[in-house]
Amino acid sequence: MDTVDIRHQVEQLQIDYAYCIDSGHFEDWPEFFTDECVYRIISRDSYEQGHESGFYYCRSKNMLRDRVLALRETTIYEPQRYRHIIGGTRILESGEKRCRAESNLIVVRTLQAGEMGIFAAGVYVDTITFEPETPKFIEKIVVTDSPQIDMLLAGPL
Amino acid sequence: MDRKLSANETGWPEEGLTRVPYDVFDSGEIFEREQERLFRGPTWNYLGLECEIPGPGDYRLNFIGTTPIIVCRNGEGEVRAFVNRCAHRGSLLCFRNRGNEKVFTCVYHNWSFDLDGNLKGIAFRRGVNGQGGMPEDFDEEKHGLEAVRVTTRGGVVFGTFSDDTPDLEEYLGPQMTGFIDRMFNRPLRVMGHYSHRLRNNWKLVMENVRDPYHASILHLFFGSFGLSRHTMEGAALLDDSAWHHIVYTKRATDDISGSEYEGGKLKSMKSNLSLADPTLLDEWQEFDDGITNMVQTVFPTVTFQQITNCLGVRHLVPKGPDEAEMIWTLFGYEDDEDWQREIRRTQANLVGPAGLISLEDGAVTNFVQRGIRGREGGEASVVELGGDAAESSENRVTEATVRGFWKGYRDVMGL
Repeated sequence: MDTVDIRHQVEQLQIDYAYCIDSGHFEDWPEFFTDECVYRIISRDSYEQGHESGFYYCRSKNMLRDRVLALRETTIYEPQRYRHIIGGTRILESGEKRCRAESNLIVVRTLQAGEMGIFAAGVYVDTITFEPETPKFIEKIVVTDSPQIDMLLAGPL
Repeated sequence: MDRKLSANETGWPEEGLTRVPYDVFDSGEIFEREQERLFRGPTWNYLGLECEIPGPGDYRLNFIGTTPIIVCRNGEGEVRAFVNRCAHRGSLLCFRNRGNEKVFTCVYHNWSFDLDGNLKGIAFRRGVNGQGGMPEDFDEEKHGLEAVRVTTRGGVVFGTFSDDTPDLEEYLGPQMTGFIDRMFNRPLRVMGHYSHRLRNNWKLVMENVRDPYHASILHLFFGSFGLSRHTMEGAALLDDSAWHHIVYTKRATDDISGSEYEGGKLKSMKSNLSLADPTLLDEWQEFDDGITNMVQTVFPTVTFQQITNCLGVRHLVPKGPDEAEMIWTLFGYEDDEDWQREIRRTQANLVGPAGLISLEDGAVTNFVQRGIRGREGGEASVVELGGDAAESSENRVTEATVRGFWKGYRDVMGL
């Protein structure tokens, strides 16, 4: 693949990923990852200090599925929606089979009464595989610029 | 929101600790009184962990109530704390959350203070060419930083503004002190740090963390995956003053047959669920006493938690009558092995603003704040589960630990 192809594939993956979460299709969310994968949400401050613990830490696709199970069955919170704006993708490393990329993200959260605000801003630090056919995340680290979460963080970013 | 106190301006509802007037949760006047009587009063307030400021000159920022605080280690390696306010014109002296300094220099006019809070330098003290400058008789010794009395135990730093606060060990009593020694028994290593903005009064959060009643009801994950149920062995403990509390559970000590947990009678029990990756709940027995869940509060605003192997401090900072910030510090020990660290970080999924067993707390405390609006006057919450006492019990179907908080609050606030 040439760099234009890689960029195109990564950007398309991010678009589909954002659509999945923003439309509330959480059951499809784990399918963006390989079986062995890492997904984390951690603040920039903690990330730069090398801390292990953040808001989310899943180290298998099944753990992602368990997060969805909890969202559907055990978690209680007011109805709300996310809207992801992802852009500024930089391809850091690329080969035939995989690449590393960073993309900016902003998530607007809208609560049921209509209140909306920027809920998260940060960077996706992604490792993506192009095998076997559709690109998937081997690792996705959501590094949030703020160390603070407003009220609660239910769905993934 | 700035409401005047209604009927309880001078008194509490006559039922005593089983009633909490809603006015305490949104009155601006009460909030101001808390700053003066409670946070500047005879209470020990959490300031941080010694491992966060290991060397001379290391500092971190924190708050006691709304007052900004610098916690640092001086040249002799002793922990010191001051109000983070320049003695000149009141600017924040430090504005980075942590760092290392030989002297603290205010950026506004370069007044500088040593690590013991003494004023050491004033820019243009003697003016320029004999003109201007400070008066000859200006006494630097009278213009140091406002000091906070500090004590430490097991690497945990506490501070108080009051000379009347008894020693920490006396403040806590032997049982509460023993539980601090249990968890803070060797050098710590911070594993994570984050903050949680809560849109409600800080005391709703302290009621929530001291409330074992809701744990397996609101947090469906808890009961469904057998992490904590009222049928398990445990206790709800208070010290003699009832200001401080501990609730603990010993997992896997129960039989739910015949209880409300059986057969889906309780909405919070979804026994048909199973995890696709059960390693989420991998654990090892961390302490010999068999306790798997433990929440301890030190009045007024700090919580120490053990959720199996996820250890942490939750420090609550009031921001206004209807806003608070919970600052979380997750930790392990310096001598943890890699597999232990991995288990701790995996279990961290259970706690915090995205926690599988705590996410709902940020919602419900806000629900109370919204639910108590539009009052006629004199309304109060009912805190009567387990009777009217604020005493220890082996059963956790009680709000005695919540009543204990209100006892401490009323003792200090004179309400």
